Amino acid sequence: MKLITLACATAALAVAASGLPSALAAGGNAIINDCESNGQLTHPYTLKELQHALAVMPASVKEYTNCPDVIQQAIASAKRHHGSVPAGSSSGGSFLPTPVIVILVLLLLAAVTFGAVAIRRRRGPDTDDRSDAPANPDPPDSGGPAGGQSP
Amino acid sequence: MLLQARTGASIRARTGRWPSPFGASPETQIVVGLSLVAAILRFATIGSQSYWLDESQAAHELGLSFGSMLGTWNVAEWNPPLYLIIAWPWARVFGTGEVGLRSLSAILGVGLVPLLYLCGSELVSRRAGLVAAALAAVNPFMIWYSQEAREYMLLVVLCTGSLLFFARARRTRSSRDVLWWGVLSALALLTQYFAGFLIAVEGVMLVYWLRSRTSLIALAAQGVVLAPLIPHVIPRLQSQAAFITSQRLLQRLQQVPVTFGFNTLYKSPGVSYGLLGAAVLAAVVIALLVIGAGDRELRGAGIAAGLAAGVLLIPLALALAGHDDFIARGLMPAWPPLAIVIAAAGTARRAQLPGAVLVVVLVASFIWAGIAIDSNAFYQRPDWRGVAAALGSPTGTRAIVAYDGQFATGPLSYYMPGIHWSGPGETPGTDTGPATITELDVVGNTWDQRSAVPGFRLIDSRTVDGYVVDRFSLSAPRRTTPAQITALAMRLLSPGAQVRPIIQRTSA
Repeated sequence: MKLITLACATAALAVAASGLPSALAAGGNAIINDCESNGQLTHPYTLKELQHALAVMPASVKEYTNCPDVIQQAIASAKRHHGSVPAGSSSGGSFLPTPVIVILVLLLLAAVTFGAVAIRRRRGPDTDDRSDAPANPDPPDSGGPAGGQSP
Repeated sequence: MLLQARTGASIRARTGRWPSPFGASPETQIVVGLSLVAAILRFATIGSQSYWLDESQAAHELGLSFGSMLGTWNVAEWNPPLYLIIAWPWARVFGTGEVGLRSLSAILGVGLVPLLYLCGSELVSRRAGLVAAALAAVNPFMIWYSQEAREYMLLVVLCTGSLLFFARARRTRSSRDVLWWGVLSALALLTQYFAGFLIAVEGVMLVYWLRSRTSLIALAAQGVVLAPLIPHVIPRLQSQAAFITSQRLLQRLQQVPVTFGFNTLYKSPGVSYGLLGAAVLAAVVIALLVIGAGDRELRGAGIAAGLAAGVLLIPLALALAGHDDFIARGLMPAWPPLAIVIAAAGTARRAQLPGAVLVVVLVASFIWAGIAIDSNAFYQRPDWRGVAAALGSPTGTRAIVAYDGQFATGPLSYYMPGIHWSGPGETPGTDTGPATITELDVVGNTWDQRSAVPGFRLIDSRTVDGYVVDRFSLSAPRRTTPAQITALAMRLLSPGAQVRPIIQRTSA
């Protein structure tokens, strides 16, 4: 149950994050904003627009994002397509929107967890016969409250 | 009487282990070997890259007197001062050059290997400790920050020390272990505020488990340690770092697993698969742990996973609530517990073969990423040292316009003589008035367009790692304002950017 609760909380956080607008996304160059918001280019741009975006890209964007690589690949693609590049074909990234990825990820983890727990239960209790346990193994109640014991 | 011969086979029969030819246990020998590998990977290329902005800022501050350094820290730094306090005497001995200053982080990075072994042994098993140590030795993210003249490796080592004594205190309930946890946690907090997320979760768990006065005092002491820093913290809580918030939160979320595994390869388009990749890894780890691990291994891995989740999810929740500092390198305190979780999965007793495959795949991918970073300048720090060399000696008083703004002028003012510090914390009013110059140099990008402007003659042009360094001599000395200088530069190399020039005055 704890795992399910944690998964739900994480899902809520991640999906909420997907709707959070970037503080500065509204200003500046449209191509750079597009790349910063989506990690790829989601609209078609001309070669000239792409080259201008690369030329005016702030140093912080170069340092902290994949946008230089994304736009350079888009430029190469635009040159191959004689001046323009279709949306979403430039990044080389995932074809799925990030919120969908987040939900798929959490569903996958939940499924794996349930399956693994079911297999573990069918196997029965653990017999700890390891040879490399530390010198002082866990106290019997180490996973819970100490019962008022004071060091 | 017959004495049993002390052969390897007899020792093996009695102890279950093969004897060591050096007197140390096999685990100790492996940890020493891993530490050597870590040392080679960290020291071999320690000075090959130039300082970037943040490092040049540290090098500048460490070159000041101790009092001036603390004064500059108070206005220009986002994090507490422990790293600077430790690095200041270090810099007096080893200098503020790349090798000298970064060697402090490199030594800490090597020390992380045995420390993580102890942590993994304490929480899970000795085999898990060895695997966690191996992951730390070859991970590009850990190597990168072991070669960074900033506080990050000190932060990771102190957080790992805190984790070690947290795990020990949980087992022994000893006041001494709780006190050591308190001391190391406080030092981690004095290194970077992000340590607080790990320490808060650890502290709450300790208080819940031990229910002792010592654990409560140790947790409360963290607040006392932070109290003097409140005047430093509050202005930073009230402002947002634009370089963080300009990128959408979900994109930064995608970067975290890629950065933790492959460091600066987050700059590649493959970063879009960051969450999917993390999900696949997490699924494998969960399956191995739940199916293959013993109860103790599973419990230890669960505790480590809980701590890592705290470090990752609390800042995420804060970002959603409006205070957004969510950036991969700030989340570094989550790396050691995550390594222990993966190591626990990789050494699960009833899934040894798939666990070994997981470990081999991870180690191989870390090595591949390290090679990819070392062989492509795009994934390395910008070469401002090379740009400074390309700018050469001035022909007279010159203005330098670098379109990357402080990202460029900070390191350039460190590398070039006769230039005031031009990064964060620079003296207000520096180079804001008119200056008479005989040379104008422009540091732009290779895709910028050069144009001829009357009165300017190109005397040198070089390309350094994607930067164009153009030097122009003026036909006659010209007295100009900073705004005029920038406008002239943008005519010479367009489109450019509205940045403030720096002035290099010749001693003559």
